[in-house]
Amino acid sequence: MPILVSDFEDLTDDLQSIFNEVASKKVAQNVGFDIFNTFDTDRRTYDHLVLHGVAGIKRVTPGQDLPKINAKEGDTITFTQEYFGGQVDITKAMRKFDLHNQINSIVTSVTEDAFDKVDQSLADRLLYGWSTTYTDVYGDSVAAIGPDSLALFSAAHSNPITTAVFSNIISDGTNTNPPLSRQAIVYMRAQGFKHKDPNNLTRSINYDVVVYGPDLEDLADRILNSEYLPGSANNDKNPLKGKVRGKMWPRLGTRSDGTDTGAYWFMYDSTGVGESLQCLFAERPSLDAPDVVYANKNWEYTLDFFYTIGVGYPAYVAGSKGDNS
Amino acid sequence: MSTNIDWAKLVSEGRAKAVGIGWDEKELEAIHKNKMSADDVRAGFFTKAQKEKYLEKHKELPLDKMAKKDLVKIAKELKIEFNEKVVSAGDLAIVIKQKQEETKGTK
Repeated sequence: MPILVSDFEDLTDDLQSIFNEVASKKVAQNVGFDIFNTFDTDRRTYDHLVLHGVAGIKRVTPGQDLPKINAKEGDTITFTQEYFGGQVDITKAMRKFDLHNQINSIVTSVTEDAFDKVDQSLADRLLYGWSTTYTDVYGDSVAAIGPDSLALFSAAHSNPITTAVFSNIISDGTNTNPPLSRQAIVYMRAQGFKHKDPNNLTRSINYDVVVYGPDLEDLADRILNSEYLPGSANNDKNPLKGKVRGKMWPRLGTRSDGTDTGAYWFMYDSTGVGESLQCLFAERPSLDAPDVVYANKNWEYTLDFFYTIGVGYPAYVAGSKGDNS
Repeated sequence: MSTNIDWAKLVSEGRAKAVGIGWDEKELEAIHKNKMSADDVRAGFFTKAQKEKYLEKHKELPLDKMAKKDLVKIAKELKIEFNEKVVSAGDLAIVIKQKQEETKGTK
């Protein structure tokens, strides 16, 4: 039975249901939203202030003015929302011949495409973390700098107060960018716990999550979840079990430019990573029905959204290319 | 996905090479490992020996290798009007050179 103009509302309801079903499946599958601090904002440009620790709290005597804490010790970074979207044409022929299956497929595909691309764009921010610019999954050039003008992963992240720098490139104590190993995880956890702010105050970072692609899943599972220490002859207990959890993100296996990144792996502090990695939506993806039926008789549904990705204080995440570079 | 940072502040703090240009790995190593000043690294000197060797040969630094504070001093002597906070060392060097050439031409 043909789909007539009088069926427009019903078709729209159907397509919204398909969109909602696919979107909720994708949101559940997309690992990026679990790692990045994903939140909504009405602002097109969002100003973020990074404080490197402030030397503000002091003992005060009764009646004395409290010391002022100023933001001079910080860096600012502005994230600007970009607009993304696509159009789904439900043609006259599709409606005339009741090609419901084809209509469903198109809406499913375009919804998956939107959520997959958002997730890949988040994965790329980690996978291109050693570069200051890259071409993103949409084909656009992206400036991937943090507030100190350096790439996300750098051996010399700076601050405005002292000449002290810190590295968030994973090391095993001998090499930087080492392959995934128990030694590197243990070394980085110790480095994280000893992390100091520019005022020389210890501000521990608990690298309690290891993220990797499919190629490292088996190795990571053995390192993190074995009851006993892998490879040890005397059945030592595995101290990492229960302290560090693993997270497999399928997209980390391949960058959007097709580069094999199967050896890349990352660590983060689950309580602080939201400061380092942010994903801001001014509008989450939604499927909208056309207001008018056009001259070509296509019913043009649109799927669009505004979002951006930002990097704040980068200390809560560390990365390795896994090649000892 | 554009990101904007306070480049002018980072440059003035020696944490970026120029507005829109961050330090590369070799330059970061010169600053943090070799303890070279940001201005020296901007001039292309990655070690103290490299700078000394240059000065032995050329006696003084040309305008494009001078630190901003030295350029500011020269510009003020030449009575060039500028906003010290905003102007870059590169732009200041160009204006000083033009002014010096103008002065030379009128003499």
